[in-house]
Formats: sequence, C-alpha cells, structure tokens
Amino acid sequence: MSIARIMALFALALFQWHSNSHQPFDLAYIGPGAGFAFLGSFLTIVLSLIASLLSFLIWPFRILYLALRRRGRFGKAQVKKVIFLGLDGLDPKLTERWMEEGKLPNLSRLRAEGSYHRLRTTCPPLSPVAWSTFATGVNPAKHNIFDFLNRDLRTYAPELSSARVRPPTRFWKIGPWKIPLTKPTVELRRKSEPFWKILGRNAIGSTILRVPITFPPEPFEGRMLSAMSTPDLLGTQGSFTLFTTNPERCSLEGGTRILFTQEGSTLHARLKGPEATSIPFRLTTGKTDAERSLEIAGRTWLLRAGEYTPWIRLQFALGKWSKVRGIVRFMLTKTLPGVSLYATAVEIDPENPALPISHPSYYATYLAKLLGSFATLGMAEDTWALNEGAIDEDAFLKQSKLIQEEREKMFFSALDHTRRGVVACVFDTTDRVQHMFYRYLDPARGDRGESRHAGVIEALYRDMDRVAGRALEYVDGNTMLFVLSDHGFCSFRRGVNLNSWLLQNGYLFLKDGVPEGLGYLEGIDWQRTRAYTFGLSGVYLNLQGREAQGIVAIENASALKAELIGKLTALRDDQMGEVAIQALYDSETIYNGPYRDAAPDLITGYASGYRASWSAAVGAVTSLVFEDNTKCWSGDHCVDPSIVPGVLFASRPLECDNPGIEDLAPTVLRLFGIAPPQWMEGKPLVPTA
Amino acid sequence: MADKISVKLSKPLCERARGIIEKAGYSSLEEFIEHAIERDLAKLEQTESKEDLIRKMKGLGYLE
Repeated sequence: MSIARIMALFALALFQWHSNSHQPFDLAYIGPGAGFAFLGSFLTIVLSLIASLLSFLIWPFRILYLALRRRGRFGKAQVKKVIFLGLDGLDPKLTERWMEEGKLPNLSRLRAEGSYHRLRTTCPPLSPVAWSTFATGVNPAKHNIFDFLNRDLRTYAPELSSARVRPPTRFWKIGPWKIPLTKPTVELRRKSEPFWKILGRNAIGSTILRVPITFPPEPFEGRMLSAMSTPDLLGTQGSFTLFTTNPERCSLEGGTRILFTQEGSTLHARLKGPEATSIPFRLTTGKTDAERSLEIAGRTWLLRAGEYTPWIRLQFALGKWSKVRGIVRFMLTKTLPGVSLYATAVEIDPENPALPISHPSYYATYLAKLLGSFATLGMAEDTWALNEGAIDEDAFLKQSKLIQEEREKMFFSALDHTRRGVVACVFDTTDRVQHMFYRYLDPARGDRGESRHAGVIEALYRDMDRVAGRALEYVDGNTMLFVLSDHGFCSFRRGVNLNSWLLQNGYLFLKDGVPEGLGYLEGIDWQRTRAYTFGLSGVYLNLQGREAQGIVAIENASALKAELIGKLTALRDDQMGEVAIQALYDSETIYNGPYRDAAPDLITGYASGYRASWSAAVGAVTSLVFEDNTKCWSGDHCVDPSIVPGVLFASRPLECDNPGIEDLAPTVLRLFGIAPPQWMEGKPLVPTA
Repeated sequence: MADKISVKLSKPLCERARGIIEKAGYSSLEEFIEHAIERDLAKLEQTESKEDLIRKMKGLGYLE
C-alpha cells in the first residue's frame, strides 16, 4: 500500500471522527489525492497519526455519548431530515406564470402535493438582509445587517456590512523580510444566532452550503461552506483582469486592464496576486487561430476561444516563508485581430484556504478533494465583466453554469451523505442571471433585440425546476423539503440619486469648490448637512452624538424624518411621468432590537423600475436626481418589499396565510421538536407534533 | 473562525444582564457583552483608511 493511500485512510479516519461528533455522516471518499495534502508537512503527518489513533480509541465512547444525547431529541422530532433549497431571487410572478404554462412540472408537483405561498421578504429586500433573517428568525435590528453597506460613524466611510477582514497587526522583521506574528482576523458582523447553532446544541447536525452572510464561518456542530462577502485574494469582492494587445486606454470599474508585452508571436504578462505579488505567464500560438497555449507556474494549458480553463491553482509567495494559494480560470475572448484574455478574480483556493471559508476548516479541502475545485468568492458570477464588455453574454452564462454545476455537486453529495439533520444550500445563479438578463423580459427597455439569449431567464427557471425535481427524490415520510427564495425581481430602468435630491432641497451641502460626482460621501459639508444616502435603500440623518460631525439634534430627528417622508413619498420622475418612490419607512417603526442604532433612519421603498442609482449607491452627489440605467445589470430587487416577495414551496401543507422569511428558522426548530427561543420573532409554519 | 476566550465577570453584574437580554432582543448573554465591548471599541479603535474600505467593496455587483 502506498504512503499516499495510507495517508488518505488516516485523513478519512480523522474526518469520520469529527463527523461523528456532529451527526451520522456516511463518507466514502478515499481519493488518491487526499494523502498528498498531508505529505506537505512532516509535522502534519505526525499530528494526523496521533489524532487518528486517538480518534480510533475514543470512537466507541463518542458514539455512545452522542447516541445518549440524541435519544430524546429525535423522539420529539416530526422529521429526520429537512432540506432547504434556496434559489436566490426566484420571482413568484414568473414562477407562477411558468407553472401555469406547464413549464415547471416539479415545482407544480410540490405545490399540488405540499404547499406554495408567496414569501414575505425583509425591508429592505436585499439578499444579505433577507438570508440573515432566514438564518436567525429575527428582524434586521436583531441581526445587524441592514444593507450591503454600513458606514464608519467617525469618518462617514462606507464599508461592507457583513464581514470585516483585518490584516496581521504584529510582524517580525528580519532583514528585508517581514514575518507576520499574528493571523489576519476576520469578523462576522451578523449577530443573533442562526438556527443551525441551536440545532447543533441539541445534537442535530446541519450542512450549510453557500447560504449568504456566513463568512467567516461560525463554529457549530455541523459543516458549513461560506458564501456572500467572501473576498478574493486581493481582498476585494471580485476583481477580474483583462489582458489585451489593444493599446487603447480605458478604465474598468470591476477589474483591471493589462497590456501584453510582445516578443515575436509570444505574449507576456503578469497576473496580480495579493500585496505586491504577481505571477508571470505567456501565451504562444496554437494550432489554429482560435487557440493559444498558456504557460503559467510551470504548466501549460490549451486555450480555445470562448472556453474556460479548469480552475488553475497558483501559489503567490508573500516574503520568504509565507505563501498564499489561489485559483483562477482564464478564457480567450479575442484572437484576431489582436488577443484578449479574460481572467476571473483570483479566488481563495478551497484546498488550501488563505482565510477561513468553511467549518470545520478542512471541510472546504474535503469538498475540493471529493468533487473538484470550486468558486469560493462571495459573488462569483462576474457581473462587472459582462457590464464592461470584458466577456460577452455567452461567456457570462457559461461561467454561471459552471458555478451552478459545482453547487449542484455539493448539494447532492451532502444529501447523499446525510441521514439526519438539515441540508441547506443556496444557488445564486437565479439572482445573477436575472440581474444581467432582465432587459429581455422588459418591453420598456429599448435593448431587447433579437438576442438568442432572450429566453435565458425562462430556461434558467426550467433548469432550477430540474434541480428541485432531483431534490424531491430525497423526500420521504421522514424528510421535508422547502424550496424558497429571499426576494423576487423587477426591472431596473431608472436610477434615483437621493443625495442629489437632498442637495437640491437644502438638506445636503457640498464644501465650497468641491465638484459634484465624487464618490463615497467625499466633499460633503457635514457642518451644514442634515441627511445623506449611500448603499441601496437607506437615508441617514446626520445625527448629533452618533455621527462624528452630526448637526441634527435628537429631539428634532422625528420631525425631520416626517418631513422627508412627506416630501419623498410619491416622488415623481417627470421625464417618465411615473412615481419613483412608493413609500419610505421609519426604521424606529419597523425595526425592534439592540442594533437599531446602526440602521438607516429611513428605508426607501422604490417603485418597480427604479432603484438607488449607481452613483447614489456609492454615496456620490450628482447634478441629476434621475438617470437612465443603461447597463446589462437590468433587473433588480432593491425596491419596496411589497413588490418583490419571494417564493416558498414545501413538500407538506403549511399552516399559514402570509408566511415571512423570518418564519423558517422557528419552523425547522419545531420540526425537530425544539421550542423556538423567545427572542426569535418568526412563527412556526407547522403545528406541534 | 471566531476564536473565543473566557472572561470572568461578577455574578451580580451577569444576573442583571441576564434579566434584560431577552427583552433587549439579544440571543445570549455573550452577544450582549460582545455588543457592549464593540460599541466602545468603535469609538476608540483606529479606523481603517478610506482607500482600504473602498478597495474591499470593489467588484460588488450592486456598486459602481
């Protein structure tokens, strides 16, 4: 037996030991690659041997202990297994229409044999907010996620609301080298407690795959793969690179454009990594005009125009002793005349993650060894590359499909290996493809054209119906399936810049001489400004005692909010003859919880067809209140929550008239015979056993 | 991954806190204490540079 084989057996044993501490989990992976992960370090091998030996010795005792813990638990449960199939952004209007037309047979079957409802979403109806409510069963003021962005109250700098990554703070300097003595810290800013932690405490394990706002993963009795907010190796939310021979200069919002250097017929460039690192590569001519050879990190890959490479694993050296591993896909997007090569963001390598992306930490490695490498970036489908023409519609759809296939493998592998507990998996493809292709469903958009992708959203819904059909095969008397979405969708035709409206109406001021259009709340005269906006739905007062340079006295805040609600509700877009804002919500009225201070003071409920403009979302003040949205990103859901409810299918009838996404967490607890805690606000949708 | 450490607090203080956590909407005493510390840290800690914060948001599909 080879050393690799022996190591693989020990790796399996170690995994079984941990798995059995959570729930029964029938694993069958003894791949030839698993051992190599342990051969990298002699110390790791020794520790693995000791851990494996210990695991064998205490295994019977752990099994006995867990059996005793579980004995009462499943006795009270109505199910042995609950499956959540999350289809981000699946819209009820489209779903109902295509069910009526017979195009979604599996979802129709679920509706007929179980139940179907429109699912009330959160205010605002954004994925980070809604999925956090799904996990915790509470309103945003109890889980602290109100938007994609929040702000630093001392500097007014917008920042990501869900996670904070801080670099190492202490270093050891030896000559030119700088060795970090502390690890980078990653902080999850979603508060409260997700249902899977409560289940875990009750000896019921869960497998949570790519449910948004799970980065970094929290320890609990189960397995988790992080999703939304997971950065790439550059620390961004996804930065592609376009390598090109075209010397024309143009700036890209979501990526970087790099000019090849040419030596004869060979093209050279460097792929940027973290800090100041980069990896050189070269392209040489292929057998045909549509082919090139890519030589990178000692390996050669054949590139064919319009086809993605597999994930290529790369290693970036950060100093003498520190290495960071990433994965990237390339696609040749143009070969004649000139050459363009698209590279995805350099994502965290799941086989050797630079940051924690799974719980237990080796779960990502296990999945990569078992199923192949996979996208780890929070929002992996490269919407900016399509917006900016770095890739075309075909390339975007291919990329989305590849990511969906990875997700399907993980989801069904987890279902195959789970006898008891929860399996929850969220598919993002539905959201991303609708964002980019909704223009083909909107008669008011002028760019519908005759594209062969005009039917792509219908095809996507049919494909998701297929996935639901596969999940249905796992349903039996002891297993309940939920198919749900966090919000629906509508068209995004016109953007609204409320900073501009506030400027024009005397609530916001720019410093003297500052030009309009600066992003990230730059140039605002805080000594005179009473209200401002950034992000996708919030309006904030510049409040004394909260904002560093606040001028609105607390006793005047209510009157100012009422004044803004009065003026902005039913705000008209005269050019289109339409109402742009349906309602404004006072966060003091709609939220209740300890984190309400971090919430926007007003939440804007935009009318269908409108959204915070691209400039307003980054806190810019422009001269125009309304502007056309001409990007491929043409569908959205950052509107009034009444316009974009989600969907909820269940394999059993539910007891409810108007279910909300906050009801799912208490429902799954009740299904397993656990009383929902008092702080949880949702109501169980199933009766007690 | 969030590493945790134990901190000793006076029993009477914890009992007082326990009395209000449900009403305040916290899921646990731990969450309440962490929130209290975070609120003060936010006032005292050095802020990240605006450039760093902006870089971290780059690529988010919803933002230009």
